[in-house]
Order: sequence, then structure tokens, then C-alpha cells
Amino acid sequence: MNFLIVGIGGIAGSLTRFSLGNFINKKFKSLFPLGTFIINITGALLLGILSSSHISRSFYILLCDGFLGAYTTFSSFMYEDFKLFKLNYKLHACTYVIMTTLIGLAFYALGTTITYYAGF
Amino acid sequence: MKKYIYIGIGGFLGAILRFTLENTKISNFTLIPINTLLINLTGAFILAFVTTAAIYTSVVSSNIKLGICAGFAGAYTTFSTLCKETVSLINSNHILLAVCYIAISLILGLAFAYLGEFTSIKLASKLNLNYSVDLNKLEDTNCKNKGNSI
Repeated sequence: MNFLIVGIGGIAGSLTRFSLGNFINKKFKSLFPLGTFIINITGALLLGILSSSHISRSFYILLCDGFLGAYTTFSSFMYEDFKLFKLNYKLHACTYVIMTTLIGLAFYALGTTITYYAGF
Repeated sequence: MKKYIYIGIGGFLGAILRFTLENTKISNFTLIPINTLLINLTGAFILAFVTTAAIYTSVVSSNIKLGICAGFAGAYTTFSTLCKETVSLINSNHILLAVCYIAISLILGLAFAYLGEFTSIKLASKLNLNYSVDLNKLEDTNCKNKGNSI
């Protein structure tokens, strides 16, 4: 049963990531992979909020393991960064990986802080 | 809009596989999240492999590529869990482990992406598949140079 819950979250997460990512990339045409970047950091923020809050195990599996796990992506992040290195945009590549990492970690911590002070 | 069905199915399977692997015990050393690391690295390889095959050969149709890359690999790998685990290590005072974990994830992640592309091209030439760069197929990749500056 848990597998079904994760799976449903996975469907929603991957479709959201694809649609939102494409929308952002089309709107802000740039070399920097803005779509994946925004998706990854917002996903980290939401996971920070949800993982420290008092939700049932089933909701956690659906929203965190399922949705957020599928919504954020490490593979696209790595491939895009690799492509930037390969096309010789080394500064972009370094910026992308450093910004995603630092802001991702910071947003996760921010999410836990928000839940702590809001008392979820 | 058949592509959404392919992506949805890929996402369904990717999330389930990730969940299963996260919950199987691999090592006795529970501090380093080896499960997530293996998941992210294999996922990075798969995405690079299939994307390269789609760009350079005609064996992968557009929908299949979306299903495997945007769908499966995207749902299978996770960045949010990586952040959670790193912050968790920092909070439990294992700062050095936290730095090692994230550094290894990023460095090996890039290495596996490179390996994915390399293996795909090597395999294509070994199998004598006609390969050439189809510029139309570069539409889907996020980083294409449209002549825009940064």
C-alpha cells in the first residue's frame, strides 16, 4: 500500500517538475538552468517544512518520499552542470553547482525553522 | 499529450524504486546515507546515457526519452533528500562527514553523468548505429546555447 502512495506522489511530482521546469525555462531564456534550480530549492524548502512537522506517516510517504522526492532531481542537475562544463561555460557550471547546493541546504534549514516557529 | 503519460509512468516507477531502495539495509555504517548516494549516482548515469542516445542516435523516441529521463530518472533521484541528510549530519555534529557526503555526491555525480554520455556514444559506435547530431533533438535539453549571454 505504501508503494501505491509513493507512486502517486511520484506521478504528481514528476509531472509538476516537467511542466514547471519547462515553463520557467521558456519564460526566462538563459544559459543558466533556472527551471531545475528553482525546482530543487523550492523542493528543499518544502521538505524542510514538512519533515519537521507533525504529519502522519502516510502523509509523509505521500508528500515527502513521493511528491518531493520526485519533484526534486539530482540527475537533471548533474547532467545540466556537466553540459555547462562541456560547452566550456566553466564559470556558469561552478556557479550552478555551488548556488544549488548552498541555497538548497539553506532553504531546507529555513523550512525546519519555519515549522519550528509556526508550531506545525 | 501522450508524453505526460510516459512521464507519469516513469515517475511512478522511479519513486517506488527509490522508496524501496531507501528502505533496504545496505550497510552497517548508518551515518553516511549510502542508499541515497547510490540512487543519485545510478540515476545520473541513466539520464546522461539515455539523453545522449536520444540526441545522437534514433533508437530512442522522444516520448520514451521523456519517460525515462524526465519521468523515471527525475523521480528516482532526489535533491531534497540529499539536503535533509546533509543538514542532519551537520546538526548531529558530524560536520566533516556532511562535507564529505555532499562533496562525494557532487563530484561522483558529475563523473557518472560524464560516464553516461561516454558509454552511450561508445556503445552507439560499437553497434554501428548511425549517429549524428540532430539539432532538433537538442530542443529538449535545458542548456542549449541560443546565443544568449548569461
